[in-house]
Amino acid sequence: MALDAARREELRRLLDEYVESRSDTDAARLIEGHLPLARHLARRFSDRGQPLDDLVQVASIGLLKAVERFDAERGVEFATYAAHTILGELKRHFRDAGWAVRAPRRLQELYLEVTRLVDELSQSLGRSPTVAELAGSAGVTEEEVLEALEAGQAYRSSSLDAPAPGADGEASVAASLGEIDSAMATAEQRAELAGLLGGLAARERRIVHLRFWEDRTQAEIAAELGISQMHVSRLLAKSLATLREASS
Amino acid sequence: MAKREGAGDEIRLEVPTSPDLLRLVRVVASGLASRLGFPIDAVEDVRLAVDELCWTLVAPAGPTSTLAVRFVILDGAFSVEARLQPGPGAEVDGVPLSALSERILNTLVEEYSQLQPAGGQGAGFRMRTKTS
Repeated sequence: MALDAARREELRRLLDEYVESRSDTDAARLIEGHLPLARHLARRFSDRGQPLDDLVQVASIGLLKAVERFDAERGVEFATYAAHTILGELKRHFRDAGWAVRAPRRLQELYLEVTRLVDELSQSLGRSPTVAELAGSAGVTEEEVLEALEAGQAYRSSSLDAPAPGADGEASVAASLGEIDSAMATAEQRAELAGLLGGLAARERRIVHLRFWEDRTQAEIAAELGISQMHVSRLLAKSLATLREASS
Repeated sequence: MAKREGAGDEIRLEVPTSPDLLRLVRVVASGLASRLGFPIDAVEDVRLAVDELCWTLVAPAGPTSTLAVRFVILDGAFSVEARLQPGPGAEVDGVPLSALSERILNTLVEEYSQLQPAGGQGAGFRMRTKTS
């Protein structure tokens, strides 16, 4: 995005005015001036099956945050800082949405359909449905269901960037230590694992703990957390990918 | 899909040691679990377990190596044996499981064991799924 000199000068003036006044009006002008940057960055994510308009919205939120948090004293160019913040916002959006993988829209939709059917059939059958039963209900082949599951699991989510650590910071790590208990062989292993788990968001840490330390089923965890079984499944896969990334 | 697999049937898969290609191993594993009539949560468990084991082998291996995976159908379950075929200059040492991986596998599979390098074959793992 080459900017001509006049435009660059204009943006610098807007920034100076904003830094001086910190007024909403100047903030709005600064945001407006940088919207092309937000659009440009949003377009880089447009092959992931989400409408560009939505992505521009997300990018604009990132831009807003950049304006609010920018500290001129740090000596970083505003555009550099804004680009960083906007990219962070876009990546977080995909991570939260769970669509880090570039799944075709058809598979995304089938995945959502299967997610719904797993809960519905679990209810009516009183047990977890088989893939054949899911395929029958969705009117697709077993292979398509499996493909959708693979696409929906966001195994590649970790390639975007590291997860935001638990909002509760040190407290979360301490809590993890308590959760890990004496099942781990050495204090060193416990500390290392606690550090890893501390990098997960609180809900994901809880799910990992319930599944692998308490040996609870996905359905039980789903019921306890009030989310769908497939959501538990996806968060588990995502958490393991995150832990793996952090430990390598 | 007229024929359902019978006990003893075997499927072999060889993939380059690229993390991206583990997807193929996962798809075969979940496909087999599905054909054996595993409920969906067990299919997901199998996939996570196979991914965990194969990743442990693939991550430290150079890109010139190959991962050889053998699935054997048992009675209402199946076993997965994954071994590194080291490429030129690649390590042939054993690959340790992390404490976390052990914890995960203890939950997800019936049994698992490590395979030591032997006869030009690299390190590997063997696991057996729970019975459907």
